[in-house]
Amino acid sequence: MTTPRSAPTAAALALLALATPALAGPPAAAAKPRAVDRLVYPKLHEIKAPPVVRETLPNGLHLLLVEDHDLPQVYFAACVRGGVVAEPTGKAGLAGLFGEVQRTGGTTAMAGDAIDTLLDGLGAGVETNVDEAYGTVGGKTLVENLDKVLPVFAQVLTSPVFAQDKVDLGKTHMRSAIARRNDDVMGVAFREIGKLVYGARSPYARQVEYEDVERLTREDLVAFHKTYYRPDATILAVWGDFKTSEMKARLATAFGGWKVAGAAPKITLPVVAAQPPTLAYIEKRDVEQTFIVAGQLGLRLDDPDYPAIHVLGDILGGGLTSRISTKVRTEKGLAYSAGGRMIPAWDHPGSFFFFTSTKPSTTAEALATVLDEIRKIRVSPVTDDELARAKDMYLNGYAFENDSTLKIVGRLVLYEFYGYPADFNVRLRDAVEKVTKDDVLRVARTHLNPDALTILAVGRQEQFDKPLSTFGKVTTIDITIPEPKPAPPAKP
Amino acid sequence: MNRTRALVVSVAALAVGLVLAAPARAQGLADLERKVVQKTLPNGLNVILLPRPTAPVISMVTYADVGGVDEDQNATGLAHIFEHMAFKGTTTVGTKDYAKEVEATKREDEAFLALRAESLRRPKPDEAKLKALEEALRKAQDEARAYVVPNEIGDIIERAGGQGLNAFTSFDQTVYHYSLPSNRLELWATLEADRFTNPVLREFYKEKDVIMEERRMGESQPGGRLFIDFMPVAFEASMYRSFVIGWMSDLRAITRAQAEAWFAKYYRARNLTAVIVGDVDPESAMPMLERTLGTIPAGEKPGPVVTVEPPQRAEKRLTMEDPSQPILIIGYHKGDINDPDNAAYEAINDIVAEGRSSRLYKSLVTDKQLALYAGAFTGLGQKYPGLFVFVAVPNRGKTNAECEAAIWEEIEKLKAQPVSDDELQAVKAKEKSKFLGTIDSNMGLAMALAHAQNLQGDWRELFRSLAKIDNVTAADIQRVARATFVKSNRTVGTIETAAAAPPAAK
Repeated sequence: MTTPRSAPTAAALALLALATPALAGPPAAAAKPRAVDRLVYPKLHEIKAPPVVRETLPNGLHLLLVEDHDLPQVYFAACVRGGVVAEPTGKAGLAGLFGEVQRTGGTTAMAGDAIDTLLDGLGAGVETNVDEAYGTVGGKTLVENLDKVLPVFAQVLTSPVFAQDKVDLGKTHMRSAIARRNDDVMGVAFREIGKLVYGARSPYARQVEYEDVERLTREDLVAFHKTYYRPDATILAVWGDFKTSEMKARLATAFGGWKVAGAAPKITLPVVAAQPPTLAYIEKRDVEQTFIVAGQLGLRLDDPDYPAIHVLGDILGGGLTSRISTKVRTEKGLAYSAGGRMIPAWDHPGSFFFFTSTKPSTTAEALATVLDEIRKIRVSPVTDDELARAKDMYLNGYAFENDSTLKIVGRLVLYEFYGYPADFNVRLRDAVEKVTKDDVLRVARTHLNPDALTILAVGRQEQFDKPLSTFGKVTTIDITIPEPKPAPPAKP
Repeated sequence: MNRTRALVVSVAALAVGLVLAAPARAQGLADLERKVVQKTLPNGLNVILLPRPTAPVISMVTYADVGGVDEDQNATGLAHIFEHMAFKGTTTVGTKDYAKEVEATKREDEAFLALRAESLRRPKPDEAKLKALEEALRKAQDEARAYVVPNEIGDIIERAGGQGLNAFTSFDQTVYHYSLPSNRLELWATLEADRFTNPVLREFYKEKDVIMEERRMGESQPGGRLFIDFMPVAFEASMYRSFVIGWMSDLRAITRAQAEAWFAKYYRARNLTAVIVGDVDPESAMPMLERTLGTIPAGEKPGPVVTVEPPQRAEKRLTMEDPSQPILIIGYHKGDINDPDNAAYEAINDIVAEGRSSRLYKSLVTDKQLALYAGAFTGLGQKYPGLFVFVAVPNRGKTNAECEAAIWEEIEKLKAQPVSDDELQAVKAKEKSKFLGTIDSNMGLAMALAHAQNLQGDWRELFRSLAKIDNVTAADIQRVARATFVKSNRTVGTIETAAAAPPAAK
């Protein structure tokens, strides 16, 4: 068979799974095998990937097409090199404003409100966003409305006009979001730990202030589009209910005239530097729990140590059955949610994040429990059973690799964007399969350093079971939102 | 049984015909509907299968026709507590020695009951006794835990490649769901039959602690606090008032015996529906499902709740002074999901709140620039009469009162003038698009089938929903708006920003 996972491996894994209870040795299992232990599974049907057609138009636009005839819909997704990392100096927040107004501000062919009415009337959608390293334009339509929606999608991508009234409205929304940013305690915790781990000025963590909003203008948006939104810097994926040859012709018509002069600008990625570890406290009075996060810099997804770190993450803090969740939630009943792992990034160091939230009177107990599990996994190797379990999860879960076209396309677009091989997922699976207990211990010791861990607690400290200072020197962070400064006098 | 076989055969023939005739065409909704195989097992358990073999995976749903609305005063939160306990294992899964565990569990219950009695004592509990009883419970819990294999159900499922293992409890239902590689269907059926026949509610009191933390987590969000306080104002009689999670006092007091009684009443085969969508072959799956799920005791179908929310006589208001920025919610009582006007409510929802051209977005967000977000939803309570809810999140410097006035304006327009043909056409397009979005994934489709079967009495209602929307007229919308959106039928809840309470003096 041509299944990516060879049959002997599957059989070996099944044997391993069957043997596990005996190794772990619950006495009841020895007496009479349980129904779940006697199951024999038929061979899994083939994990197929649909054909993917790639092409580059003469203007440099990369196309990626996948037919999917399950439902009468067509989806578009354009990924454009740019993003937050390309924001000019002094223009923090530009990417966020751009992401809203590219869609709402209309195009050379149609006003924004007219686009709203047209798309809503067809049950279709076109949405824009700007991420860390790229901008996206997504679209979806019933196949019968393709001729009406594709031109709108193309216009929004290639010729948005950023109407001034929608720029102003977008800035109003940004101010409102700033005013509300301390209401959501989870938002506070993850925003602040990001700033502590990456540095408050890093494009990977910085927050936008009122005074940043004041500095943003329509001209900034126009210039950003002109600089970065170019066919030779764009990957366009289209999937759904169409014939590839017909879709190619439509796309050639829709995007053939999209031309820019010169070479694509070079984007220098920000330097990521480790920050000094901090034990931080933020007072928030309107919460019933302490929200605890801990983090430190991690790795890129393509780091050779990532597969072992992934296994480590599953064992330590991934899901209900991980060590942290078993201790904090199941055994001690301290929290609804407890866990954490390394979240890799594609083109810069990702980060470890651990999280739990518990009533104020068990704050220190919960934090100590999480830290204890992090320390332990660096001291002695994980068990055979834990390793087997983490691999089973990953390898058996591989059946879901191609279960939606969105998942396949999303993966391929990002691989292409970041210069990863198209079979990166297969390589990662093969690498996870080879991870040993020694690898897990080694990467835990190399990359997860409790002494370099930054810890943040958000809540009401007078009700903590022990002062946070039990864990070290505490830095209190003030999250009061800075009011906008009055406009400086005009220079003569 | 014969009927099932006939269906399977015709489905197979149909599939072959389709492949030969039009390999590159979308299946269409009618084809999807024709592939559904439904069967009531001899024990009364309802099975719905839908083969969709695009990838070697399956998504499964077990729907229990019981939710927060079925609870009683003094024991709110019980539906959700049982849902958590259904992950704790069975007489053979999750235990090292069941016989000894049972004994330890009894001692744990005795310790808890003693603590419960003391803590509820009036005029007040004895603090020293409480401390001793808490310590005794802790000791009993430690002893019982020695026999536990923690999270073994989750462990078995995740090792098998299970994805998205979870469950939710809502006003009207409790739903257990996950996905597996398709060759492991029998694992799901075996575990499901076991946990809904022989559940062991181990680690009960620790899990209640977890649930209390879940409640605190919700209360730590301004929107969560507002809804928890809003529901008992909007609903005075219906148990929708407890907002599923239940009161903290009840969570503390609920006993293992109460949760076991809940199971015995609501988790019999006649009250359960199992739905499987994905790479499943009904012909071979059905006998296996009979062998497994078919062993769950039949029981009796529990009756519906008796209490009906009486008509509201006067507008009700709730103002929370809170450190959060302002939030506004407005609820109007409406009929249940089977109300003949339900499709009209869906249409109103689309017209006022779906998309940037919807009336609330245009008025509050784009034109008046009052709100960061303005929306509506219809499904707060479905099995019994529920609420139609409007929500607004004011922009910085704008007020709830301004947003409220703008919403009234839009509501009065709905009552004064019929909606336009274009808006009605847009409703149909939006509903079709939403429908396709729902059924795009195996899990979405399985959920939708289970909901239709239970809330509307027939899974086919899922495929009839678009036609019902198509039949809604401008006159229907105007009539429903006039009848529903009246002052005496509404509850208005707001968060008004106020300084946080300072730390209590020690």
